[in-house]
Amino acid sequence: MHYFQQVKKLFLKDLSLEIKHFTALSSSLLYLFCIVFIHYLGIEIAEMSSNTGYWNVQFWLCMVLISIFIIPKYFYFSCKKRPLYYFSLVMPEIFWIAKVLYTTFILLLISFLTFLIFGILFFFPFNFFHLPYFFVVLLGGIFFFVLTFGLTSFLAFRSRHGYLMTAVLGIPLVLPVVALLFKTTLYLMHGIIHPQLIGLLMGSNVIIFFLSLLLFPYLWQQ
Amino acid sequence: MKINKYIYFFLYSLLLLHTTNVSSMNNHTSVVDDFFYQSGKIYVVITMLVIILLGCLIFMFFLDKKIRQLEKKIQQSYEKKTHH
Amino acid sequence: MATVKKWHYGMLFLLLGYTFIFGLLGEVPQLPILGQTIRGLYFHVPMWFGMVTLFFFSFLYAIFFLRTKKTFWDRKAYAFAQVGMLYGILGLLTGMLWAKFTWGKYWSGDPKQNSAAVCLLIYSAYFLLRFSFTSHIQLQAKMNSVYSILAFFMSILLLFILPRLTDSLHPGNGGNPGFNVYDLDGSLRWIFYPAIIGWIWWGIIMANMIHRYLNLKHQLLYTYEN
Repeated sequence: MHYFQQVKKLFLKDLSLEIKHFTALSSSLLYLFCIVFIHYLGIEIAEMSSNTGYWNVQFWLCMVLISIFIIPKYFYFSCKKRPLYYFSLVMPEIFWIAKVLYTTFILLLISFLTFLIFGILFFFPFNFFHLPYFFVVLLGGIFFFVLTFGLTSFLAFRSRHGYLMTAVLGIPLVLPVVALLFKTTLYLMHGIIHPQLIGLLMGSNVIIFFLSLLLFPYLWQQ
Repeated sequence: MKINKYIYFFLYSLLLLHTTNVSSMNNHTSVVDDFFYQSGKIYVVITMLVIILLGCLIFMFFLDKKIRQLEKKIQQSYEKKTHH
Repeated sequence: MATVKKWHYGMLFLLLGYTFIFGLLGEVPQLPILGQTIRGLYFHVPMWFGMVTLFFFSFLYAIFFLRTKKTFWDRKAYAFAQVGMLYGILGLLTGMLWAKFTWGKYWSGDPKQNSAAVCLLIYSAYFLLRFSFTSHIQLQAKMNSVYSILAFFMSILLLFILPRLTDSLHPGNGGNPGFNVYDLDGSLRWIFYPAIIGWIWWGIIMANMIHRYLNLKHQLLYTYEN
């Protein structure tokens, strides 16, 4: 009976804290809604062609979840103590570019591995001619994920909720590009190289790259 | 508490509309739909007008109330300061 | 401090009164499925124009903050983003109502509907970020301005470029004729443009009121208490 009382008290305390700090709950609600929305967009694409459509959507959802998990490891946990040291050595832009390139490299390796595992478990949906185009699209997607989640992990580092905010702030920004990636890959699977879509992907990468170069010094300063 | 009302309002409105969508899916025989389909769907436009006007007016009303309360508070704290 | 003058309200009543009266009573082209709902052009579309304009103002003030480091500008950016969000929600609701009685469903996965919803999600993340800081005002303002700039660029990409690439049920995209095709004698235009100006006008008035509120709050917290 004694333990029961303790459990009840702790439970009620958590509940009252949750109601008091609404931001924590609503940030997880926003995250939930974004994830559901990504799936909704994916299902719309997947319905266009059953077999390849599902491969494509599953692959990109996998990549999004992997990058949410991995990218903050390289950005969020690296901005705790060491940046003060780096700050005295190099310009913030240089630090940012180096960090982004390294993370893109790591994530590219992981995505090749994911591609292989997907191919072994399901099938390889591309023919030999279209494979290089797929790798270009993959690189574009990963570079975008690294830039956005990198910026948001620096934002999240300063906020009260910390690590949790990286995904909450990053996913809505990534959503449109994920929709673009779904569509581009689906066209590639059916042997159509859509120059407009690939150009738009590259264009959004260039925009976010220069934007991050402009904005990163503001995130860096103490 | 304050920002979240936007998000909750947004999510809740989506949920609400979805539930009404299920109940009147294919054949529009309900009273509400008959009302909206008569005379060239003019009531759809009127409802839209009411939604946007009400939304903005309610927003402004609550804002005005909040500003008035804050002004009173500032006045009080100012008087307290000068009194001491 | 920005206060609303009387002629601001006068202008607002003039513009919106004109659009309400002539929008509901004026002549419109007769089309098969749309019917009278073509009048929604005067009430639904200005919401989106208003939202984009207000977000643009918010973006500008965020840049001003990063240049001058005065939190006055950050509060202004927040006020404009709030009103933009309100317009976005109202636009989405009216759009869903219009869709129900012309396309048959509240939500049919149209690219423009989807991207509008994603745009609102991005700005809700902005509000969340704003409220996850409590103590440090300068830092909070800096972080918010950075996120606001990112959010604006992403929503531009969303609202203007992405829907044009795919088929949409909306007029003016993917082989559908735009409203300018129906507007033979320019009668729609004479009500549509004043409606846009009127709604943006009201949005700016509301944003200035919020800005005044935020400034008063700031004053209360940082001058009288200490």
